[in-house]
This record gives sequence, C-alpha cells and structure tokens, in this order.
Amino acid sequence: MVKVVTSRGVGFPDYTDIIHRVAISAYGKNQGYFWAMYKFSNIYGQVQYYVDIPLPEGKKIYLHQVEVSTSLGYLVDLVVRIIGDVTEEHIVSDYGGATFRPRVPIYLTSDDTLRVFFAHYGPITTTAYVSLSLWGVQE
Amino acid sequence: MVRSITPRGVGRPDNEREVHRVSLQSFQAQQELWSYSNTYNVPAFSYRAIILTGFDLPSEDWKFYLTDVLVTVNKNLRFLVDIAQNDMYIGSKWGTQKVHIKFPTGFPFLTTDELKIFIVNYDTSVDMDASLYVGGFRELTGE
Repeated sequence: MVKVVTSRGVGFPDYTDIIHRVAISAYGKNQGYFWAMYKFSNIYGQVQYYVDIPLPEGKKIYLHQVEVSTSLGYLVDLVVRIIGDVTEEHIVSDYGGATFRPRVPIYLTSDDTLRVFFAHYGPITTTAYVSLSLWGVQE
Repeated sequence: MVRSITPRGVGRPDNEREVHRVSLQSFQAQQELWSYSNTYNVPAFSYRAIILTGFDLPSEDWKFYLTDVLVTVNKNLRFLVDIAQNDMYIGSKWGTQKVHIKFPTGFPFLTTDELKIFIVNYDTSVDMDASLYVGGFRELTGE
C-alpha cells in the first residue's frame, strides 16, 4: 500500500552527509527532456538523507516523476520538497521504494530548489543500496 | 551541464555484451511503436549488459522515444535494473521479481544512440532467468 501525505508538518532535518554516500550520479538534458539519477551505497540503520537536484538554467521545468528504491525491502519515505516563493512538500512511503508522480507535472524554474529526501528504515546490521531517479520536461 | 559517467555494474561482471537490433512492431498514423523483448540468464552475483542499437529507418524526420523498461525474473529476489543512453545513466531501480521503469512522456534519443540495460543480480548463490521488455514510440516531427 502506498500512503500519500501532503504535509508532515515538521519535515525532515536537513542532514548533509549525503555527499559521502553517492556512488554514481548522472544528470542532464536532452531534446527537451530533463533527468537526474543517483546511486547510493553503504546505507544502514534508520537514516535520512537529501540531495539538491541541479536544475537547467533559464528553463521552465516540469517535474513528472521521482522514484527511490532500495536493495532491501524495508520502509522508505520519499520526500520531494520544492523551495521557492512558496515551499511545498510531497511525501510518499512504501516498502522497498516509493514513487512520486504528481497528477499534474510540477512547474519549476532554476530559481527554485528541488530537494529530494529519502528516509531508509533499515537494520543497523545490513547495508543497503539506494537508487534515486527523476524525470521531467524542460522548455 | 551534462555529466557523462560510464555505467558500471556492481558485483562480478561477466564481461558479456549483447547487442540487438530493434525493429518496429506496430504503428498508428503519425506515431509508430517499437519494442524489444528477450530472456536472459543472470548468474549469481553478476550482471547482464544488454545493448539495443540499430533502430530501423533512421531519418531526420523521426524522433525516437523510450517509454518502458520492464524486467521480470523467475525468483523471489530483489534485483537492480540500470538504464543508460550511450555512456550516461538515465534511470535506476530496485525491485522484487519485477522492475518497471516508466519514462514519463518518453525519453528522446537518436537512432544512432545505444540504449543499455543492466540487469544486476546481487545474490551470491542464486541464478535467475530474466525476461526483458523495452518499448517506446517514434514520432514524425514535420510534414
């Protein structure tokens, strides 16, 4: 079951250890398409991380889908936070991974910050790998 | 800025590169669908790298798009699917028995590009058989 919560109130701590966990990343734009992909390693215990997604300069961006998944089947929270004139946050939780697909693509500009968090509720004894991908359209 | 990173699997590579030509299978007016499907054995703690290339009827009048990559396996295992366009990752997803990566609106690519799908089996003792489906559409850009 996928539980969708529009606002959690407190939000996530802006934990900054993420840079040490990124094993591979790629992002770019292609004929009007925009995407980003990250692979994280050495994730264990109950942890929360975030990454700020680089957005193409001077473009209108429509965010269509954000997806996080893990090598283990434990609960994952996916939080998509857009920080701009108004900050909005979307949270999806599910076991083994979660997908955020807005009913209407979310409009962004390069002045906004697109911050994607994930929380992994795994055991302290087992290391997980986590993949994070997002896709959108730029004009 | 576009950063290009050579895809690499995790685990023990089997050094197997498989290249397949892709043909169009069905069509509508102004929009044709393409798809590719095959099955692969993925030994324990290894990956298969499947390269799709040679898309039919290259023409500047057509734009190609990738919409779906679906992998199902015959074991109740968590496994990883990575997708790259040429040497750059464009998607990655873990799942149990089934991984379905859906590219919203379709990921654009050229007929000269290579699409690479990595099916990664992390289990150290269990082999798996994987069924791969890759599909999308092509679109006429002008009259």
